[in-house]
Amino acid sequence: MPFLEVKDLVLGLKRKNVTLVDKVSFSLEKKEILGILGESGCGKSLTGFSLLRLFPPGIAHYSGDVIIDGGSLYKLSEEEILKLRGKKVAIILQDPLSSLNPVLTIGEQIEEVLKYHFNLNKNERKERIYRLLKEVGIPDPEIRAKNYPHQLSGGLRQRAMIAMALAGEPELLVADEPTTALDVTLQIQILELLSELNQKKGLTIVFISHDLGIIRWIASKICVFYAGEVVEMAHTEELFNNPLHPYTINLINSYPREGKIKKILKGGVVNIYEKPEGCRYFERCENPCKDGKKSHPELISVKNRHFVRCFRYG
Amino acid sequence: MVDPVVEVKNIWKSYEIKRWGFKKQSFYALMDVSLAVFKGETMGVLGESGCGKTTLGKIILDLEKPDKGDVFWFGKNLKRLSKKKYNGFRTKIQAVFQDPYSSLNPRYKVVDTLLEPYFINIEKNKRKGLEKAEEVLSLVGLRKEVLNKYPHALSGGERQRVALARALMVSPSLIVLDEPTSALDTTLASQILELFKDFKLKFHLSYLLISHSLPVITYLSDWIVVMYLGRIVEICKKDIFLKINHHPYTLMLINASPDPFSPKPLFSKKVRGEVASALFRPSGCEFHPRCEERENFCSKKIPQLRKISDFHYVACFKR
Repeated sequence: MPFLEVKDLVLGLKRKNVTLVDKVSFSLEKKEILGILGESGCGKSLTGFSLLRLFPPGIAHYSGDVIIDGGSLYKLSEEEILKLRGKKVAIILQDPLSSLNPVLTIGEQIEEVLKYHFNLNKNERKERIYRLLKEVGIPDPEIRAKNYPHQLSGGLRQRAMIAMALAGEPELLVADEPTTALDVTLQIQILELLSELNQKKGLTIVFISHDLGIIRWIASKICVFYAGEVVEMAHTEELFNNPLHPYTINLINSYPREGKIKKILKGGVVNIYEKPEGCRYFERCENPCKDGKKSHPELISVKNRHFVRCFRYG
Repeated sequence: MVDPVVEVKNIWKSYEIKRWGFKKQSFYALMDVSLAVFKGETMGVLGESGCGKTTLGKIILDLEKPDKGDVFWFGKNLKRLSKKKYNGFRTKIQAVFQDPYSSLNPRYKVVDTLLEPYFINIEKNKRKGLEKAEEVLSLVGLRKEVLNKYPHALSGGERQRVALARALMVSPSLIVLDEPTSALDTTLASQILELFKDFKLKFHLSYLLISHSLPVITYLSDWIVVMYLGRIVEICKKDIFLKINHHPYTLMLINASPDPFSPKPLFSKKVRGEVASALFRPSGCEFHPRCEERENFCSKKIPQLRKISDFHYVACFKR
């Protein structure tokens, strides 16, 4: 039984016909890192939030199920889910400056998590905070715990955020573009930290990013999103050596390689309000097939654990 | 010899910030920076945030005046340029900024955005202006229906194309590209980069490309300039970029950049530390606290940019 299972997840806006995430299903074993790759507006962040049952305002209907460690997330009551958030699943967000509380010190914010989930006295909590800060590579944790977010540099802020996410000792971590706001040299340090946590503590990570290079090196398994649905899913090596869906192929070819771009992907992101009735990639596809105009392809298994949503492989 | 389109010589630029409300402290954003961009060439400036690359762009655009040093446009020193001549040159140096959401006026339709620089700098002739606007729009790959839209109705990629079209309206010689693709998706970014490359060949445009992304820089540039804390640490020609013995900082950037096609795994634990604050500048070589190959003398003396070959300059004692 997989550790995390997402089944036919659907998220939609108030207007009934607008679905932002459409029947997304995937599963993940413990200790794996899943990379979710896609352009902006393809529903990858929404999928990430839904793993904690956090929905941004405006989401009016949802269906499907998220099963973590055998327990269904969507059948729980609101109180039970509060116990779960932070303890079983935690999230780190893109911009640490706007997602940390500016009027509380780093230590206080971590303490909040500890107070809620564990029965510890004050000294134990303090020790735990220092240990957490040290674990994520923040020097002088005694001083840093008393700092406010604006007093930390970008890299330290993101580390503090990770410390906060780890405070509840979660088993699953959702990382929603955690390095997009950082410089390259900091980015790689944060990525190294995450992959270390994955290896040493057995943390399962869902890593959301639009950067091919990051996903390539951190993830062991990749889901490619397009217009709210999974178009291809495979293990990292397999996906990069043998991409099947035309979107994935173009995505890989449009990444500058040794100072050259092999192919330019034409067109922009699909307008979510006017999704084509057939294949959603139909308009941007280079050799569109006849079936794609009218009917919608299903996610099919091509070979061992390689899934693709394209008629060509049917 | 042909004059470079833009040249800066020994530029120093400092800013002042207020600390604790009353105490003023100044710091240098640029220290002793010199470079030249020739016609049809692209100069890529690579560096992390806070290394002064945007300040350099602003000085080249004459939006900021340097404390010390000279800026030359087409071989003429800006300090000794008459107002009339200056205005003539002004249109030749244009800019495209990072965030297409904030760099376009939300109250202007695309047509107004495009015509404004034309009316001010070329001539006040609406018919000709519109002709030019349509021509420029088709160059950047937009349909002319876009003319009557407001920026909020356009997607990020379309906005960046409009920003580029605005720069092209006055037929510039050099465009300063300040992180032109970092707000865009990978696929859109490659489309925009392709446009830049196209125009470079078509109109012999020069660019000063400012970016923190190695793949973007290597895709578009002829020359690569690496900056660290306000100083140029390395200049080299793109063609030899993969073959030479780089400055330790450049090596760090190469190690840190996630290349999906590299045969080596990304994580090598070689990248450490953060960029120091320009307020508390390390002594000697600015990079020495993070450097793998540092020696004792590195913290005492400041290395100067030295010539290794015609196409390669490095500021490091150990090269």
